[in-house]
Amino acid sequence: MLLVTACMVLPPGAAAAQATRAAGAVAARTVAIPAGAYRPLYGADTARVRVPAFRLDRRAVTRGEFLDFVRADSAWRRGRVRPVFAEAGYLAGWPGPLDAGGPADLLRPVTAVSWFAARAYCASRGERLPTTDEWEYAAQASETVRDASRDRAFRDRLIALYAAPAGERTRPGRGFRNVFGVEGMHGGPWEWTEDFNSVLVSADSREAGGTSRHTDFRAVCAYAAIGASDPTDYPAFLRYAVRAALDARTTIDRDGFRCAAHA
Amino acid sequence: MRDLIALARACVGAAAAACVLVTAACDRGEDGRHAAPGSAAVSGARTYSVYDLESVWRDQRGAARTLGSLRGRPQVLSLIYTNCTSICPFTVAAIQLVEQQVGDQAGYVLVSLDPERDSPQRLAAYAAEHRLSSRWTLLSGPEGSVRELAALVGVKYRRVAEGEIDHSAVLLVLDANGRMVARFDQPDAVDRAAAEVRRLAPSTTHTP
Repeated sequence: MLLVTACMVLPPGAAAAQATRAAGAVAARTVAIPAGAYRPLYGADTARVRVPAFRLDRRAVTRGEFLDFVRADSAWRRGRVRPVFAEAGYLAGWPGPLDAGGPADLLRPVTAVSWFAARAYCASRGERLPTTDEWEYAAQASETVRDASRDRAFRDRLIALYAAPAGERTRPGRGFRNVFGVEGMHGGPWEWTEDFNSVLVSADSREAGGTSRHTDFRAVCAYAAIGASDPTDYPAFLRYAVRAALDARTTIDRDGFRCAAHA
Repeated sequence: MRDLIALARACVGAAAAACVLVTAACDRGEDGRHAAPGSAAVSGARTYSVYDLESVWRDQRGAARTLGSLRGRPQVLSLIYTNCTSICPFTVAAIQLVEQQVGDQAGYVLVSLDPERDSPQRLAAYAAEHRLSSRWTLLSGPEGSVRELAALVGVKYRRVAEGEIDHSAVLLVLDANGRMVARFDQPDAVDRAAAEVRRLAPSTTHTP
């Protein structure tokens, strides 16, 4: 795709060189996640879901990267963004619409971005947000194994990482690099996914994971836990609860994102 | 730290709602939440128009439509899919009951959650099966546009086994400019949705 586009405007040699450079940059910024399967916290009959291979950003998108984006596209600057696309708290921590802070701030994960803004950023790179399945699948890896989701010690570490205040969670390099090479999925901010609104956990969590056939059970207060594939996976409960509380315009200071692409 | 673990445990036991509120809702932006009493809240719903979304859809007649083309009168809207045999027929029936009460004072919109299968032809057939009047607009659009609209108005959905789609069954009432003035969960929505429409269009003649 990239190569084809470049060929239209550049002589063949230059196009090839540019495509190679661009491919190199993408390879450095992203990692390949091999195909596999995982068991979502809420899914059809708690079945394992197959996740095809994809590419995922090594790190969450930083303030510096997002600053470049709003410099290039004024429609996404604070004060210019249309109200339909973001709440009033959009990029609220920035000193100015084109000022994301000092050199250290530019390395922090960007937060207080709406889902619309996160999506637009990834689209500007020719990429997209990861799906919830892709994100959760990549995030169940520890430093050494691809699926550490059943490991109690791993879960306890995640809870400890989540428990920090927003300022701490947006410190660069927080968390760990997992076996896929992806960094900070648990130590950094919460992260948007393309289908963050795909799990039916209502405000009182009585609809979780159910189809409409289970209507009677929704009256039971603990149904959120009953519907879960693993009621002891506390870190997953937290992530799903956060996603359930968001809507597409929400801007909170501990929610950022990273982009994904097809393999 | 200890509090968070306790919170997570409470979540597992019974109070997942507390989890949601504590971990995210308290971080919410300052434009707050507005909604009619008893309906589910969507943040800042009155500060923007759903019609600001620029997506392009096809209606049941095959015509290209923006959401903005619904401007001009209140709309009662829901997201459904035509192969849905569980909750969707009730949703459509509920909107028809609203129509019986307020008639021309509103338009009625069904947006498909299943654009792959719900072609304009399929939507037209569905409209005929359910005897939907000419006041109804049935829309099908690209997957990304469906996700965008659903995410904006607080409708959750996911594909599950055998072509079914789990989704929130809600009625939305939009004013003439596309601002979401109410969002009702089933099944007590009919009278309240009708009341919202009447409030928005008090001077219009009622033609059921």
